[in-house]
Amino acid sequence: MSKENPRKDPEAMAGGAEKTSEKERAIAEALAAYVDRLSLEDTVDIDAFCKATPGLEKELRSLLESLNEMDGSSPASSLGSVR
Amino acid sequence: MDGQTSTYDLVERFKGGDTAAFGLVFRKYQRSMAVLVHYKMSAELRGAMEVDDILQEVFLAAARDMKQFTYQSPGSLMAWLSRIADHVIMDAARYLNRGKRRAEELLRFRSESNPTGPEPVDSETPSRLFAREETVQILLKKLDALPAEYREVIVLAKFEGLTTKEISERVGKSRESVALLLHRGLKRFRELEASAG
Repeated sequence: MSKENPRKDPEAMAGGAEKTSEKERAIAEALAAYVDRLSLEDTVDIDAFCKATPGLEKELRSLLESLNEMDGSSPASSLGSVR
Repeated sequence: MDGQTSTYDLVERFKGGDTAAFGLVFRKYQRSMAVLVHYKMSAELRGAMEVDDILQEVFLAAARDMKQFTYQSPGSLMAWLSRIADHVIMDAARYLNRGKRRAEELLRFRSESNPTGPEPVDSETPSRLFAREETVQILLKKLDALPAEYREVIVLAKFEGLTTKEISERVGKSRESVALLLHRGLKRFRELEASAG
């Protein structure tokens, strides 16, 4: 039986109950690649990383900056690192 | 790579007797650990004792037991600190539940809630940092405002430092689902930041 309200269930949403656009998948994949690099304690240049994903640069950059700001670092910082 | 080298070097320096290196380890990991510990603690436990107190115990145990730690790969120190936090939190919950020991007795370092405790090695104790660092509190408010599934993947990725594959195994979802949850969680987080001004 399907879930009552898939829109309220992120797993169902992420799993396809809500149509996921190709663009969203591409951004999510880029984001995952970024997080995986951070988990290796790699310092990632956000500028260079975003340039490698043409067409998604603006949206991806805003998400990566949000992730970076969680460190308490400046939003202007273009170097991402985990912890 | 720099991050790997520096974490490895700090660990080795501390093992070699350079006590200042532990202060650097603490500075590097304290913020992530504060967020992690906050979410590892139950609401009941958070009501009975502060995140700072658990943090102090975690870093004290880490300093005491560092010789037993072997750096294996990037993220291994964070994983080890996270496991220590699990044990400290379990112990704290057990003590509180049994009522055999006052929570304050768990403290070792001197702090506002434990003024008679010994002075810490590093003057910037987790307590002092966590209490005064408003940005951590602001961050926690925003994370708290997210749906639990979004918050979970963000905390695991950003603060526990897991790969998306590891998160996938931890939460029992596909890597693609984890990536999408991360994306949507960050989008929501971004919106919260915008609405907060």
